Amino acid sequence: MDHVNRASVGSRYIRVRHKEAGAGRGRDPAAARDQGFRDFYLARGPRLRSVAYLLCGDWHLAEDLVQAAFTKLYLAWPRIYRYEHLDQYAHRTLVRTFLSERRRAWRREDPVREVPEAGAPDGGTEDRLVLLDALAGLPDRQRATVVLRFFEDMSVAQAAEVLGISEGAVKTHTSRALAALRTRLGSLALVEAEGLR
Amino acid sequence: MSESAIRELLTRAVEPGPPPGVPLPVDDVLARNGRRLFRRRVGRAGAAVVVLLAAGLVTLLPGRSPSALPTPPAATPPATSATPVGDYRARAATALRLLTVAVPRGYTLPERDEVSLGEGASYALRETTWREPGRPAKELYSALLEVQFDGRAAVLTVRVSDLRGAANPLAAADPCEGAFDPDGQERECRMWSAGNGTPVRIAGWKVITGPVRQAVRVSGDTLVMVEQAGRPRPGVYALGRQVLSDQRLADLAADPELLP
Repeated sequence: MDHVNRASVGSRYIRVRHKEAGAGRGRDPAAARDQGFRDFYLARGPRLRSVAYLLCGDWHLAEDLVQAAFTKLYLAWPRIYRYEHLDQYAHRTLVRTFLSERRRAWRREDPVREVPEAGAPDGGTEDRLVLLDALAGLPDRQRATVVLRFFEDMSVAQAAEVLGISEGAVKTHTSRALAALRTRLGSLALVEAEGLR
Repeated sequence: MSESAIRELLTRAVEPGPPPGVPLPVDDVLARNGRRLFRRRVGRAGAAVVVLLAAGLVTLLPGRSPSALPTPPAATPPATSATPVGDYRARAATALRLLTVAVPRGYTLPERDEVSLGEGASYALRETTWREPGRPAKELYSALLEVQFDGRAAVLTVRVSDLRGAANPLAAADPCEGAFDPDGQERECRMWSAGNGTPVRIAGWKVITGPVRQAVRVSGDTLVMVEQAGRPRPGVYALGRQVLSDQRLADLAADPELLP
């Protein structure tokens, strides 16, 4: 009976032929899986790295985070690559990796933000540093909520799913984070009229 | 400061991008973890084998009364006649035609038989396979058809197998036993009557790609299975909804044209 019931899952969904194979009917699901992962990494890696940068404030740490998240994704890939909401899953892995890394003692110190180029920072660099400072001052979940809601344009429900918290908690985090950002960015005189054109 | 101002600030914060020397080394991730993934999967398969062997050993331990031994499944008698003769290739083509005709309006059928993945590999979008003469495979033939809706893909499959030497799943005390994907959720199973009165087992479960529905019928020594499921591949997400109704699945499984 097994040969019947097992027919519904796994490699049956994917039939990969290698043209050079003798009978023209060889299958290599592992190659297709790796190719799918590579495609996904190349397509979504840069965007996820930007999300990671906003979370941790440093490109090198962001890269570490993305690598850690993608390693987890790859190890789960045979199970998840058919997932309709793969992008959401990747975000969830990244954000939860960030939150768990932040809980570790060796990550508790403030991340070292990149040093601007020599010379006086231009307005853009200054804005960026001010924003990163303001973000760094937020608790981790509030920061993640802001990034998901306003950088990734996720709905409250999507952000709740990624963070693994209730929608009410997302609304609370968002409200508190926005209030804190307004205070901090406002006190640094970065108001809309000046900082944004 | 408005929400749109926050949005713009966040976008501008990442605009400069990473400094040089911060790569996205996908091949590193693959190279470092490929063996790890392989070992993990082999380990799981090995553990499953060990559990099965242990379970088998326990049933053979001395001191266990025969009544304590599990009842063997009601297997059909061993084969005494030759393998069913039939033009499996033609049957496979018929199955593909029946699948194609069954697809409701609004779905897109593939224009090609396969889509290339590069490096000589490809995904089959429309495929038939059949057993070569003299091959001992249980599967007599199969037909596969990918359909798309709104840019998402599902696959319809017909598989016809030789049941001799195996238990008839529909003759068991519980025809639904073993009907499901082991990782599936929200399982349901029931016996259904096709339009021509043939009893068909309809089983469904939900996996990460969405619902899977499967119709199984047995005729003599032949088992016919028709199944639909989401089918992702690079660049295409799985379709998370049912393409064919349960009745349509049952009617297809009961179609006498599928029998060898």
